[in-house]
Amino acid sequence: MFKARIPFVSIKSMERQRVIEVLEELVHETGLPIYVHSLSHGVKDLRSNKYVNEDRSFPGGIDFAIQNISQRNNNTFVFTEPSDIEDDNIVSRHLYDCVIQSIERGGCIWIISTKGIWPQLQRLGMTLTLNPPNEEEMLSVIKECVLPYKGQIEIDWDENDFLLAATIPS
Amino acid sequence: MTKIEAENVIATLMARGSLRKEDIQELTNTKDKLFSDISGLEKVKVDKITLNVTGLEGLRTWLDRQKIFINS
Repeated sequence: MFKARIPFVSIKSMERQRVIEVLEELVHETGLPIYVHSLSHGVKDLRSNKYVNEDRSFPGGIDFAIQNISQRNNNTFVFTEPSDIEDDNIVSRHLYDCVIQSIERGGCIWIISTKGIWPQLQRLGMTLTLNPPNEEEMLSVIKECVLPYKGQIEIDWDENDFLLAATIPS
Repeated sequence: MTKIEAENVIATLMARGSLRKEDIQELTNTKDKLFSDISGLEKVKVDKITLNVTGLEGLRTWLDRQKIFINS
């Protein structure tokens, strides 16, 4: 799906960090350029793990994306905290224009949000939902939390306990 | 439960200095607390008798047991 270059993808999830972890794996596998914008740090290049634009505002991030997309093909920009894109307003139209630029240059705009999206913007792409971790993923999450401390604290859990512990939250 | 919620619960348990079999119950309690604030969701405690209703045989057994109340 990532290689299909769908110009606009909204990911419905309250787990921003988990989505970014998936994107980091994607960058590692494909080597494609992905930039992530956050309100606390601006725009980060996931390939180099360096910040490339310090403008932290959402409109500033959109401006940076438009500028980059017009200069280079196949860039992907991910906005983690989009605001005011639920209806027809200046911000959603700004983002709409950015997506239109992306279509012409093979770029992609992804947003991570739990809110609704202005229908005209949404119809330029598709929506994905990241479900909470299933039992298998939860098992690995719990083991990653616990096992590094083996030997440092008393851990009575055997494999069945880990499996049960993974079943409860998922 | 999200990944970060699960990590936080496990970290809280481990901060006590040990991870015992009884602590698994704490995961259930924490999950209950997380969902208790969501309106529209009602927690229903499922006991063993209710579980036995599942399946046609279970339903027959349960109906036989309840017959006296149903017919009265």
